Amino acid sequence: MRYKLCDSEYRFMQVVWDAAPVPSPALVDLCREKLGWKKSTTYTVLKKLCDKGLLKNEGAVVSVLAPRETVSAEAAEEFVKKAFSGSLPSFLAAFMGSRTLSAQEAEELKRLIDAHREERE
Amino acid sequence: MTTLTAIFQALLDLSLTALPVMGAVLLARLCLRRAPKKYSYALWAVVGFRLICPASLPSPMSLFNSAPVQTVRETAQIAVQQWGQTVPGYSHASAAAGNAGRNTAGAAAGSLPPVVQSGPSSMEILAVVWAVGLAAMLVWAVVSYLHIRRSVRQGVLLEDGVFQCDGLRTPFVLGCFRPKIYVPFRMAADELAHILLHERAHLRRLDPWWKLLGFGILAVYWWNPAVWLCHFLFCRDMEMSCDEAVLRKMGPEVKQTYSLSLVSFAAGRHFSAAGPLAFGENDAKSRVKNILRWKRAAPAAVFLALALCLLAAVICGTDAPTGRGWAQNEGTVDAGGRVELRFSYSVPHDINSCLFYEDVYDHGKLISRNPVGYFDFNKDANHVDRRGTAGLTGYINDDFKSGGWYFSRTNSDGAKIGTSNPSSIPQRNYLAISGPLYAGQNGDRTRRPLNELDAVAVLFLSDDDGSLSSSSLPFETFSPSDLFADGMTDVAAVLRVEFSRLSAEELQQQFLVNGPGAGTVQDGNQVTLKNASGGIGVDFDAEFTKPVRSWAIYEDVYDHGVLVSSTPRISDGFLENGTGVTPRQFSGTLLCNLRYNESVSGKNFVGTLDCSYGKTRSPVMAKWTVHLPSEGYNGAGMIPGGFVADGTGKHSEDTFSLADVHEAVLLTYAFSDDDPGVTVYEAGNNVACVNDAAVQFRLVTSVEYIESSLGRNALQLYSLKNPYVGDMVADGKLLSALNIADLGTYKMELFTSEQPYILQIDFQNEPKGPDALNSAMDDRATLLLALIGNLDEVRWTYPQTEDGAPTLRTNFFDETNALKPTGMRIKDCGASLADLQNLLNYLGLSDDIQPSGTTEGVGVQTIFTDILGQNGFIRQESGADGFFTNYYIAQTGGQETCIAESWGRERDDTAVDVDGDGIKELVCNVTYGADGAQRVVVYRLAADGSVECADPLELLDVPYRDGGIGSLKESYDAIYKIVDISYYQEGQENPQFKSYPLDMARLTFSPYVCSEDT
Repeated sequence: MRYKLCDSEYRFMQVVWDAAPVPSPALVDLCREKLGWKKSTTYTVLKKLCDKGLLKNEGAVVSVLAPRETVSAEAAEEFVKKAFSGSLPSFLAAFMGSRTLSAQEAEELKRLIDAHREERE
Repeated sequence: MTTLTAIFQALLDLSLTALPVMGAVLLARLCLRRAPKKYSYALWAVVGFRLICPASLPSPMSLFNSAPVQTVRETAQIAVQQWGQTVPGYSHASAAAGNAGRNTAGAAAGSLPPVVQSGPSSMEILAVVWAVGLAAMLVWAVVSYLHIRRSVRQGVLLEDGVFQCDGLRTPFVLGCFRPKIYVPFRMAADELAHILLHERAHLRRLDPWWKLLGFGILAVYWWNPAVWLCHFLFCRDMEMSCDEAVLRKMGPEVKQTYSLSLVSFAAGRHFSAAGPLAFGENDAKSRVKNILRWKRAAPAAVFLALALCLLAAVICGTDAPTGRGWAQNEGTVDAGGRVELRFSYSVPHDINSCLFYEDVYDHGKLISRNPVGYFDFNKDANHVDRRGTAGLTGYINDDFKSGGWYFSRTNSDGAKIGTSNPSSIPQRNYLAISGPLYAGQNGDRTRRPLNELDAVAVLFLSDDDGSLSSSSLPFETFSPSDLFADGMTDVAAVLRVEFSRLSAEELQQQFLVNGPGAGTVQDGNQVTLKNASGGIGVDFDAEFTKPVRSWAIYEDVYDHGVLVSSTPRISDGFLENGTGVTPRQFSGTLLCNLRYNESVSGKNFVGTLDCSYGKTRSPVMAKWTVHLPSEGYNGAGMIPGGFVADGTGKHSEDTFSLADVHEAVLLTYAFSDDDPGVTVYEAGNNVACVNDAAVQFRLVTSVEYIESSLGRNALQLYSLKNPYVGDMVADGKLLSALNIADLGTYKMELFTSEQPYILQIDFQNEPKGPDALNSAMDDRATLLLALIGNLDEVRWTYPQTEDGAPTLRTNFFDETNALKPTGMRIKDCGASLADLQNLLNYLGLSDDIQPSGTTEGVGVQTIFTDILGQNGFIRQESGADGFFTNYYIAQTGGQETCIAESWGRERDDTAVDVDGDGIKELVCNVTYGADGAQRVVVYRLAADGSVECADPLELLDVPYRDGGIGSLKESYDAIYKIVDISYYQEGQENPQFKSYPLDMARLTFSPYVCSEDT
């Protein structure tokens, strides 16, 4: 059985693989330290992966069901696109590329960048 | 008005203020195009500040000093406010009609209930819409924030403060307090490095907070497209400056990599429609262009950019210095049968109240002064908005016995408020009323600064014959002399306004206790002192602005710290309103001289101070002598100005701002009767307490009109000279200056249809002392004949009861009755200032004749022109037994030289060209003191330009007995131009007479040396 996880879930699995079997409170601490997750986040992801069949949480002890070879990570769909038609509200955060470019415009810019010659001082 | 509407209104105002600032900042950004973006970014702080703060520091460099900017902004503000007061669906015409009807009835009753509109005004509706929009924006922000927070909850820690997250198309920062950087998974190492640099640059500069603030402003001004534009540019500048930070750190080599990552983030993997915030040029494109163009900035460029930034910040961030404010006539409307003046106005932030008061004059005399309305621009009681339109109506009641003033205004919630106050005109049966005349009623739409507002409206009333002054009086002044110049108006009520920084209550108190002008804004009045160049004293430059109407120099004498006397020595009104001869900006010189002691034993100085005052560089100086408490003093010293009363002995400043204090100390002279040695410079506290005697001169301003008086006024009368007796207004001013009103109530009549042209004064009441009146009128009639060009005759009439029967006495006066110096025609006596002064001297009017009850005035010295080829003035010194010495002081190029002198009981000197050389010589009839010997002294110019003199007694060519000085008399007859000599012959007991023409060739001249110099 092959499991496909998103990158953050994969990272979580890595933590579990290194520590399993592990009591869930200890896992929470580990996730806080290594991943920067809150307790609720840890339990949410844990539950999700248990539902998927990768992990087992019994008696507050977490153990692994799926070995490493069966699991791979893939990039997740963009949530920004889903939520805001492709761009973050500019008032909300400082960020890099706020506007979207059409493929055409992107090509144009790439050409411009490549053609640029820096004058050596 | 409701709070919501008030807030929205304030935002509208702020927007209008910020608009020019935005324009200026955009302009500045244009100049900074090639400079590092962080400067452009910083400039947005100014715009933000403008959108938040209602007021700022004043500075002369402010953008808002520019009149067009200020005018447009205020006009827009008023237009917006007026529109906002309209009620949709509520017809304005019917509202006006309804109000007008209520006006009439209410005014008679003395008060008016406020008219309440029946629906919400436009402004109120907009305010509600705004509040809804604001709420929507805030909700959107909160929702977005929570959504994203949830989405990145699963982000995984990469390094300190940085999280990697699934599903991110682009990195960003979230949070203000503990901001976290979120980046996508699977980024190349160098790309990651650049991005972290960029984002950390944001964090270092606390950008999340600025972004939040920016959003706050955007939410509040969501309805303002200009703010959206600015916000967009603000964000872009923010990003670009962080791009530049990366380039500065990593060097230009990273340009390509960096821009490529920008493009890849912006492009994403799919084509997507632009978001809701797309504005014109694509953001990534401009940032890429900026990166590719970037060069490390030269220090010079950085410096220039910084300077430009600061300059722009100061210009845009500061306000115009306070004190601006204006009122403008909007025309008159008919308000229920009465003429209402509508005007728009704007009051600056530092002025807090205004007060209207009414001066009532009865035949030229002020009989009452009462406040008519107080308004406060801040508080709720008697509140009036700082900006808007208002109306003013002056009226007389239907019974024609009394009247009042009505003020109306519309507040921004649409309520029309009126206050009516009764006028204090005396209750009489008035036959005719003219006016009210309003400022600018003739269609004058000039916007006047507040401090220029003085008289706002005038009502003219007639209580006897129904005739009133023509309403073509110049409005500017409405001084009492103007109002009653033609003698036709009987009663006038003048409404005046003043402004203050105090609250309305405090202003009311000040007015009731201290009179008009107390507590009012009098900025711009200033006196600057310096040491006098022409003697011991001070020269001062004075600048007086309205509402000051007159000024005076007071002389205070102190005896061991106790004020013994305070006398106004010089006083004047202003040339512009005909009450005086001083322009609003003038310079004066005050000189004080000690007399070294000859008479009082043991002391160095006599206890007097000889003072003189005149316009700087004018030959005419008023003189007087101050008598000090003690007969003599040992030490004395003068300082310009006075002392600061803090015990340090510090002299007061050289420049006095009279805004609050209304007086400037010009000069202090201190005396010590102990040791000599200059006590002034050792004085610790107030000079009056330390020294033994002191004289201090203060220049004091007043909002009262000066009482004009005869005498000081050769200058004033001369300035009122009038060539045509038909000019009633000019005639009236002259009558007023001559204080004819002191002699009784009068009316003026003119007979000018054919010659002789007659000016007639009809006194209305029987005089108690007809002889005194006639003798006073003789002098005045003489002056009238001299000063009115084509006037031939003056008549005056008064009723008199003779043997129980009423009659009318008429007095006739023409040139033949006039007393004047020999050889002069009456019209010549008014030809020049010198001639007029001579006439005044001749009539014995050269000293002030003040109305009774006032203190002594000062005389004006005679000036002369064209004697021995020079101009100057005559300084008269008095000696014993009523004898005077007259020194002719010529003034050339700032130098004063004594060129002649004469002496005796009276001055009987003639300037005449005896020898036909074009230069007038001076022939003086002099009388020697002890024995009364009469002689003649002739002065002429020698070949080298110096003055020489001779005694024409040489002309006597017959033998005469030398019986001592009394046996010879000579005198010069100016009319026949001969010298009369009386002498005694040997053995004769009766005097003989001979006359000789003044033959200069037969006289022996010797150089003239002024007796003062010997």
